[in-house]
Order: sequence, then structure tokens, then C-alpha cells
Amino acid sequence: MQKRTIKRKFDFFRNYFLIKPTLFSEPKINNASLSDFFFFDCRDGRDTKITIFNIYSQINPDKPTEDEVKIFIFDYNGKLNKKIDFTLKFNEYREIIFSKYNISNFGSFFIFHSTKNILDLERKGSYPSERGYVGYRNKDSLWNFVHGNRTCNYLSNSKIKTIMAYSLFETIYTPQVNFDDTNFFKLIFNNPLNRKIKINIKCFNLTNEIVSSVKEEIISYGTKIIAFKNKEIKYLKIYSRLMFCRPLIYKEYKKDFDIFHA
Amino acid sequence: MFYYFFLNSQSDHLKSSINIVNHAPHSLCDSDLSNLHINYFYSNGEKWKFNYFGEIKKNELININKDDLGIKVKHKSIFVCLSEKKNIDDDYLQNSYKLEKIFHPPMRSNIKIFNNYSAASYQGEIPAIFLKKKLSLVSCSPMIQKMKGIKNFFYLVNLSNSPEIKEFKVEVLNIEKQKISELICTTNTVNFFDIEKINKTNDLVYIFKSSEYGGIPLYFSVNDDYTNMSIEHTHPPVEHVVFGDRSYFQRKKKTYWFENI
Repeated sequence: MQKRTIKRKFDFFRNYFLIKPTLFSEPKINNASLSDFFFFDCRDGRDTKITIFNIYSQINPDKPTEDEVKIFIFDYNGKLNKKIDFTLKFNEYREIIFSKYNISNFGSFFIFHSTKNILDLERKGSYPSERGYVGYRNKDSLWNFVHGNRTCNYLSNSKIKTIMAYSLFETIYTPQVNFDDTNFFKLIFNNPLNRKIKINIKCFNLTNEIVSSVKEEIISYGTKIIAFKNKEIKYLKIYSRLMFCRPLIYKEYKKDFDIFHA
Repeated sequence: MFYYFFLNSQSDHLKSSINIVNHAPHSLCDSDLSNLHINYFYSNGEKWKFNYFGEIKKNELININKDDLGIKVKHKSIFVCLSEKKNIDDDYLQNSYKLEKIFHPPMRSNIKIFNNYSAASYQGEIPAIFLKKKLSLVSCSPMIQKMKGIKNFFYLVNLSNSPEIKEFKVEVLNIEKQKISELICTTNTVNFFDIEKINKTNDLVYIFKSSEYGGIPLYFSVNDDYTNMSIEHTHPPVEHVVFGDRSYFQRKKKTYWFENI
């Protein structure tokens, strides 16, 4: 236990000063359950859904157990909007369609799992992690699926904590995709930290010149959608002290949209 | 090094492309960048057929449409390799995992299926280590869509370091482990199936499994007039846990699904 505490502190300093950083550090409690911070969008006829499995059936299926699921839904201002709790039996799953829960506007949500049974997780030094497949759609269209963006938070005594690394210095994240196949795209960021983050986006053309630049702040647990209408943009770079500042990318086409993580 | 692939389609309404990107995904691995070469290749069952596409300079980004490669390869399963060596051969493929640089996060490509109205893509790659490993498959998917007028397809992308094209079985089960269907896939192929028959049951989740071979499972849905589409892969079982002995839990899940009732 003491070894783990020392490692966590060591990882914190490595990340803070960018000395062989780890990007993530282990949770502070042994029985933590982790979640991605998933985006949802219910504006103007749009809808979002996710199918939640009994995660312990996926991890330790030889020890059938119930899964107590807690969903924390935050609005785009980082305010806790709704909590949904339910229990899943062994191999059970539940489809959550956001519009059916009177959720409007947009924001982000966590899904935390817990069980009363003792499984092999603690003994093996591992933690369950909800990575989910989220479907997005415009009114009457099919669901456009994308899996979770990054494992980032866990629940400790009803408080949400993060494993994401934050540094004293800015690092740069470059999505490995071109943007010149669309006239309109959006970057969707959410902030899993309990502090405000700043991001700076620089967009480049084919000859590596900056054609657009945006600076934004995102409050704790908040979500920001940043839209770009510039056919000249070939690629972009994201500067932030949040070390793995990876957005969801939304590209609009003539009759539909594509959404994927960077 | 990393490998990529084109998504084949049975429809002339859909085209396939990949973005090859020679940017470091993160500034922490900027120093690892160098000019690289793009080769594309396929297997004829006995030998790999390699073709040189061109060089990609440091910090450059190239989009390749499968149609650009010519009519001769239109119906073949085409894989793409980004390498430091200009001309690759059988020997390179067999040993490429030894040459793999450690990028963190990995060098990914935007693998896309598209037409004039819409597109669906995901960020993916085939890590070189996959070519050497004996893979198996357990993919639990909630992404098969039931709405009227929506067609669903299953991709399984398999690539190994031997050019042999061998058949293997993929079974489709429901969550109660009841067998619904069986698909015959081949190695070194971008396998592609219309799963309309499977989708006639009331299940919302299907499990695609094979103890013989594995690959990257992808679920593609498209509407009747090809204007609305979705594609996404499922995670390998190891992604359900973080830290510690993750492969222990992957083995547990695979053992459960490979056992008969």
C-alpha cells in the first residue's frame, strides 16, 4: 500500500515537470472503478444513447455478480444535472437513451460501477474501466457510434477524482486526421479535472501556415464545442497543460455527420 | 511500424480512403519523427505482392483513396505500411514487430468509408505485433441497428506475417451464449459480411467470437440511400480494466465465451 502511495507521488512529479511523464496515475483507492468522460448532445432534436453492460460479467465472468451502476450527468457548464442509479444482474445490459430522461442541451457524463462481491481485481492490481460505445444522431437518422475518448476519473467516497496528468508546462496534441474534406467541423472538449483548463488551438494550411487560432477555457466538468468554418484548414494542434487533451471530432457533410475521437 | 487498411464495400455507392499522417500525435514523442515510405500490399495466397506508393515527409499528411491505386486492386484486400525502408519484402513483414518504434499514443490513421453525401470513419491502425501473435476474437457489440431501412455489416480485418489465405470460423452468439449464426472468414483479408439474417432476432447485443484467428472487428451501418452511415470498432477485452495484470482478465473473458454451455 505504501509502495503505491510513493509511486503515485512520484508519478505526479514526473508528470508535473514532464520528466518521462506517464499521462495517467493510479487511483488513490484500491477498489476504484474508472470511467471515460462521455459527451452527450440533446439539442434541437439530436439524441444520445449508450448501452451499459454489467462490467463484472465482462471482467470476471466466472464469478457472477451484480453491478451497481451510477451515472453522473453534467451540463456544459459543469453543473451536475442528473444522477441515474440502477443495478444490473450478471450478463445484463441496459440501453440509456438520453431524451427519455428529459435531458436537454449538451454536456458530459461518467458511468461508475461497483459491486459488493470480492473479485480478482484488487489482487491483480487492476481497476474496471467503462469505455462504452456512445451513439449520436440527428432526428430520425441512424446512430453514429464512437467509443469513449479516454479513461479519466473514478469515484472515491462519493467524490469524483481524476487520474489524468496535468503539467506545469504546455504539451501539444495533434489529431492524426485531415480537415480539408469538409467545410464545417467541430472539436468537442470536456474537462475531467476539478480545476479550470485552458486550451489553445492553432490551425494550419497545406503549407504549414497558421490560418486560424482559438483560445478557450473550460471549467471543471464542463464541455465546450468549438466550430470551424474554414476550408483552408488541413490539420491542427492543441496546446494545453492537460497532458492528453484529446477532443472528439465532428465533421459535417452534405447530408450527414461523422463523429470520432482524435 | 504500423499497418493500415482500406474498407472494402460491395456497393459502388461507397468509396474508401485513409489519411497517412507523419505528425507526432503528442509533443512528447516529436523527436521520433523521420521521413517515411508508404507501401501497399496484398496476398495472393502464396506470396505478398508489394507496391511502392511514395514518400511522406516529416510533418506531412497524405490522403489516399483506394480508387487511386487502380482497377487491378479494386476488389483485393489492400493493406498499407508506413516504414523507414523504401522497399519492403516478406522478410520485412515477418520481422516488422522488431522494428516497431514506440509511439505513445500510437500513430493512427483516419480510416474512412464515404461518398458525395456523407462519411463514416474511425482512427485506427494494425500494430506490427499483431502480425506475429496468435490472435483470437471476442467482440461484444451493441452497435447493430434495428431501425427500418438500415443495413448492418460486420468487418473483420485480419493480417498476419505469413501470406497464406486460410478459412476460419466466426460464431455469432447472443448474451445467453446461444449460437445465432456462423461466418466463414479468411486470413489476410478485410472480411466483410451483410448481417441482415443475424439481425432478425430481438437481441440488442451480439457476440462475435473465434478461437482460431482474430483481427479488428468493425460494425458498419448505412441507410437505404447511402446518405447516413456509422462505423466503429469494439475494444479488445483487455480494455475493460486498467493497470495491473490486464491480460489475466482478458483470458477470463475469452475462456468464458470459448467454453460451450
